[in-house]
Amino acid sequence: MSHAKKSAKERRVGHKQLGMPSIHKQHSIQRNKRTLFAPVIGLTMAIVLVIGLALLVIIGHAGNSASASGGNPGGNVPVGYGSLNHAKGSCGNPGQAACPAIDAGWFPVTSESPQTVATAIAHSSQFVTMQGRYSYVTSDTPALVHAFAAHTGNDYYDDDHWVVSVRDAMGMRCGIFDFVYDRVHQRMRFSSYGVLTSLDANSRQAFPYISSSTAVARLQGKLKLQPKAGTQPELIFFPIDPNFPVLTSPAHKWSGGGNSPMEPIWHIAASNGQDYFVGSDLGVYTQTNLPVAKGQP
Amino acid sequence: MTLVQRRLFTILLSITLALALVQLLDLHGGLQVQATTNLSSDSQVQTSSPNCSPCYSFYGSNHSWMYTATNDWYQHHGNWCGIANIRAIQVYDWLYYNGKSPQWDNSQEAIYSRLNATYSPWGSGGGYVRENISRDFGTDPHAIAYGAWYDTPPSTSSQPYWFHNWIYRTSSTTATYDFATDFGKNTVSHNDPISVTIDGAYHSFVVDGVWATSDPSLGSTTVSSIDTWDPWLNHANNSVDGTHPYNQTQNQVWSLTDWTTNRVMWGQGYNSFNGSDPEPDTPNHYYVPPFNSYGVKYHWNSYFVTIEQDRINDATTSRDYAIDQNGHLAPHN
Repeated sequence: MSHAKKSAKERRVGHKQLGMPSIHKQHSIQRNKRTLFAPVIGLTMAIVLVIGLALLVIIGHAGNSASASGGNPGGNVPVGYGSLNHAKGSCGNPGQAACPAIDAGWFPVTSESPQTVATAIAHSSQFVTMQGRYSYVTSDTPALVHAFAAHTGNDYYDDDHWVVSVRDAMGMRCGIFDFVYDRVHQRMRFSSYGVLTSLDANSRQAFPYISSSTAVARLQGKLKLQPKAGTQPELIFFPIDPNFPVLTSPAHKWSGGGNSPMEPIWHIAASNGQDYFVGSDLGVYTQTNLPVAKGQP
Repeated sequence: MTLVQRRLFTILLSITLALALVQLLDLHGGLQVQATTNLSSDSQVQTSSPNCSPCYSFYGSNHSWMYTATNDWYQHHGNWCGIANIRAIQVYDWLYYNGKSPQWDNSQEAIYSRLNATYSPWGSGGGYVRENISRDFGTDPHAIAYGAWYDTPPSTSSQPYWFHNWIYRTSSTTATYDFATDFGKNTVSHNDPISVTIDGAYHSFVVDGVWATSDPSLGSTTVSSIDTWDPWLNHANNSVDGTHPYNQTQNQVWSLTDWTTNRVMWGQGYNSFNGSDPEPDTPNHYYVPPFNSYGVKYHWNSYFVTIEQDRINDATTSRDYAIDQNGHLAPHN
């Protein structure tokens, strides 16, 4: 249909190229046909086909055979989702009931003890459901990642998260879970699960991949500062500038991480009263350096 | 007597061969159902643990084949997400078709060249590749649909390889339920991975399945999460420039909550005004908006956009045509 609509000029310009798709597809079809029918030739083939068709009718397969005829390469594909003039899905489209309301899958967590959180996670529906597919058998200690300066209206950015790496039977980290933590209502929900292959350097270490002591050492080494007395470094993430993915944007040059709970940065209240951040690139930053989104994430 | 014996032998041989032929036909005809219900190699429908409540199962592509299909990722250039996705779908489909690779150069670079070798019936949009019908900075949905169709195997009576750009003028949730019907035992696509335009059209993921309470291809299910593959990352979860703007891991499962609310995924629809992904602009204005007779202002803008394998015969409705959520041709001039 599309070829039929091309102008004569277009045909001349794109003659060789336009022919390529048909050549490739037809070539393969012919090869398959030769493979299928080569052993069955001549009179024997004709007899076999007659008997075969008779048997097809007898055992009730005549419908398939008939609908496949007529030169339509896909003519016996049944009508269903993905057909012309057929709603793509079963809900939400005109004339259909609304799709099920999204069930965030909140589950209770009674304290911020990592052990309590680990137990809650291990019994959560998503954790249990995915275990068979991803073959994790144990988890590391969950780490709390704080939402930093976010007021977006989206709980993913506004709430803290618990992140935990999981291990397979060999003890290798094979994945990492991220859960949104609603402190006010003492509940959590599944956000995402990332697959760690053996090629990933993080498959050999627990989350977080940069320890708090390493972060403190970086602050001390670079600025000769210590954490403020009575404070502990905290993992944080933030809603990043929406231009971060844009290759030509200055925001894309940011290499410090922090745009995901799975790649958090360390927030350290320093002995000089200032806040500093140690990125996933081990750079030391101030808050003004962070490419935090303005307004909605 | 000898003649009768010869005829009897011929008849018996014919019946034997006919029965063998019937078996062959039956195998091809029932392949889709057999594949999923028996958990054979082309798809995976995994039963969840009885201890979960609610219980979800995975419906979608074969993980091992997906891993192979993405073995040349990350995308080789910053604007080649669509090209990397075509390559992944291509490799996956050929693995399904004959367990091999296509007999032509299937590198991302070759796919890029092929997308520049021809153009739509309405002319080229003047974008990064000639198959674009817009001035897209990378590959627009039309180019991806063409590339997926071109690079995948020839269609057979039981297994067509037809691709179209689906444009869902619905909510992100409904659109997700719409594409979820690609996965399960009743899908025409053998649980083929699909290309999903995200982040306001600036990027695209391959989605290879969903977690749901029952088979999405049969309808009436509840989807809990989406299995995504990010072409920005390789198997080691590294990117070419060290950034992770989207997934942190190449293969990442996202909750439906986040999938439909986070702006880097389907928290926003196609954004034709982001400076990178404009509306179609071809010499023939077939898909150049507005479409006043439909009361529709845009082709892609604000909608949820995918490239999916489907049941729409390319011989009569080619990959050049976009389809809406009702299975109708997308509004046009």
